Amino acid sequence: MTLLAGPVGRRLALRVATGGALLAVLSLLVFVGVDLLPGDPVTARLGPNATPERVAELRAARGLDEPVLTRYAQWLGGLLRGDPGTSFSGKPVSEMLADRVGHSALLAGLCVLLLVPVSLAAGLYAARRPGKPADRTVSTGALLLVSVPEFVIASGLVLLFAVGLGLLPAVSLIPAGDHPIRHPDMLVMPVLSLLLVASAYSIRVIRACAVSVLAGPRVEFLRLTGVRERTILRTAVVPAVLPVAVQVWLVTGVGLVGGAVLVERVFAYPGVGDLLVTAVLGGDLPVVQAIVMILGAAMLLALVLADLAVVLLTPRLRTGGAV
Amino acid sequence: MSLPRRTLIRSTGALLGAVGAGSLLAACGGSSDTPGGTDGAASDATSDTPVEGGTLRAVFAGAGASESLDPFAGTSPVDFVRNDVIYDSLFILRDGAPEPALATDAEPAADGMSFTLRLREGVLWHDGSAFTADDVAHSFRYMSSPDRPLPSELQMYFDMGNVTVEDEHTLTVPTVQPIGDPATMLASFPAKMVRSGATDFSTENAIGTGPYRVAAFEAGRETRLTRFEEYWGGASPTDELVFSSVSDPQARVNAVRTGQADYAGDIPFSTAKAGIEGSDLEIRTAGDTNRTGFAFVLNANRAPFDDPKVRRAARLAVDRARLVETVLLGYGEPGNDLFCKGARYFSEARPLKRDLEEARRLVKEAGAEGAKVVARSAEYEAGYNDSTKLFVQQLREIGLDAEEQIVSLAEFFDPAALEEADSVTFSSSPLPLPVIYGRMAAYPSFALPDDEFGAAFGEAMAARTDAERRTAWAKAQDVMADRGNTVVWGVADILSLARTNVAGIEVRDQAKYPYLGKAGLA
Repeated sequence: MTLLAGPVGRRLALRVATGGALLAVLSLLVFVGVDLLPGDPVTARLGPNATPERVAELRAARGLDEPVLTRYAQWLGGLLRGDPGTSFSGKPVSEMLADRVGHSALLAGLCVLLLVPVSLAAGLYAARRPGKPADRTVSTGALLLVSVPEFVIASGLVLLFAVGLGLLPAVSLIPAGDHPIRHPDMLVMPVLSLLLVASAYSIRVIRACAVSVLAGPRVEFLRLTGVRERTILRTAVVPAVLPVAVQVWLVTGVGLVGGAVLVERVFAYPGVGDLLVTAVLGGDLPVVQAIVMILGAAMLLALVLADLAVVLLTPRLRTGGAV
Repeated sequence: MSLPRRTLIRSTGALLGAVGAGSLLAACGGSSDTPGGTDGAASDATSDTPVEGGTLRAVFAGAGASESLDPFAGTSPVDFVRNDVIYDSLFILRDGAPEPALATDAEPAADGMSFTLRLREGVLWHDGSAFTADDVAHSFRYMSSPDRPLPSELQMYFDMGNVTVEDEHTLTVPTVQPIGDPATMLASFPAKMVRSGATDFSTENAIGTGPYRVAAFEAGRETRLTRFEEYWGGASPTDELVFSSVSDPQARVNAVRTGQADYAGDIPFSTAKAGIEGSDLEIRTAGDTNRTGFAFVLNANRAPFDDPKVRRAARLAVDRARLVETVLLGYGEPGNDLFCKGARYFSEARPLKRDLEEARRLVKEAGAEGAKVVARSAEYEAGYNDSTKLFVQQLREIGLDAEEQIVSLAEFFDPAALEEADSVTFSSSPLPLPVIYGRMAAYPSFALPDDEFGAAFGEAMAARTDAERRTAWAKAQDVMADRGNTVVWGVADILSLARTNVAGIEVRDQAKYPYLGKAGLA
């Protein structure tokens, strides 16, 4: 309570307000931007020799003959009521997204859960041995992973663990009616593919940050006063690295929800990425708009949370020493 | 009259994939030096009979969350294959000829302007109720309703809303032009029968007369179907069919390879070429009468291809052998510019030989040197864009100023853009000739404005005997072979990957969407 009423509360309120404003701007950009995508959803659906009357009819039925801002207002109204409209396939968008957003969030969530300890451990390990072979191995490995497209990593894992060793299922064929969480064997490789790609960036950021802290005067002072390395790491390095690391983790996590398109495709995982590809290819604009909007909102939320985390993790900000 | 995109998808193969079925197969497993192909030791996979019981698991390309149990809404391979075993048609195609299914007979009136449809008796819906003429009348109205985003193409030929129910098993269907062979039309276009009044096709309400009923369905993921014991055609051998939707062709291959599935449709040529290890696996082709014709359709309604000489020049310029080698990786053979090789009444003319000199002479004679040619394509099927690029190069060699116009799938069918294109990349499986030529005639940019062709086409549609049809189609195809606007440069194999014990897979209308109602494990 006291925290929320103090500088943290002020900062949070400010961030939420900015986030809300950004979300409003984002919604306009998403709607108009997707609307401007090449291709006409009506003719794409009706085929090449639809009569002009039929095209006009469907256009009117879908409200596409209205000006873009009117349609935006209607869409926004729907969104606020929790109704993102109807897909061109005739299904409600909310129904199409229902499970899939959750499935993708599950992948991203599991990935972040593993990402935190893995990237922190590897980053600190490398930072404590700057320039040594161990550091070079970690840094180069991370650089390599960052450079390889994720579907290559995913395909490699399939070849190794499914086709070669036969340890894990090659494709995430989740039975109808089941939640992916009930099939952990089908989650291993998708999560691992995402983790390998995502951890590379986090490791590099954490390593860089820790190296500069370790070379700083505070650590030098602690070392000169005879404090043990382990204690230095716990009391000086980790607290200094965390504000940066938390931001990287959160933003990476949200990025994974939508950025897992290719990984989801390789494993036929029923997430939002596959839906996004199908919708873009087929010109199903209401679905594209809804997905982009959800991902955008999640990213803004992550940024607000990251900002909050920075405040909470930085004593001087937490106590209002400086804003 | 509108032709929905679904019909195009149905005729060209699917958005993202296609499926092969086995009559002719080339074993590939284990022997990496003879990767799948049709020239190798071929054996007949369908000679095995499936044993009773068990589960057959198949993977096909799907359409994610927009898949549907409504037989007139689904547009992906998995939709077609699944709905084919849940619902029945009035007639089915077997070796290109109509065979009675839910109807026993469709007899045209003397003037061809209507026909009497007689239904099979004793057919039951999955809920135990009887199949009657009212169901057919409702299905006709439902599939052709203008409210549907994809109204049935059959209304180009039949007056679907004005069907008369004569008695419980007889109807009279008026036509909009003389139709001599209504059964072929009913077998060729998607026309599944749904129960009278049915408009909701949720898992509980997806009730058909087919050999399998829905047990579980999740769009974009999985369908589980159980055998319908009271099926009018005799119960199927397999207890359960499981269809999974997998968009990525490599993932489909992996699913079969690692034992998660028994059968996968639409295997890329590159995968087949590389070979797939595994002694119990085989790559099958659907046989050389079930290939996909790849083509460029020339716009005969605008210059320069309004001139038959320039159309012929384009056909002389195209390097068929090279296209088959580079685009199909050798899985197929050069085409003779006519669609539907393998269909009934198809004309086996020899492909034109490449002759650049003659082609240049024709272009010059037509005064079309340097004429602008826009070749429009989208990657509707693998190979569309690559073949278009090669075609453009080859057209340049004969003095045409050709350029490719590669667009996204969502843009491909923009009517105005199609009409302004000079060539559109297209493909078709061996559909009955009335279907492909009927479709082409309906697309302004695909139609051939030729009186002799039009007359022969009309004759063929109205013909009531086999001999009359044969003569009329020969005439129509002679015109196409002489001055037509289709450059069918090659016919491509349809490949699938299966465990060696997968048996009973049938090709009905299209090998890309095989019929699994009698399939199982041997």
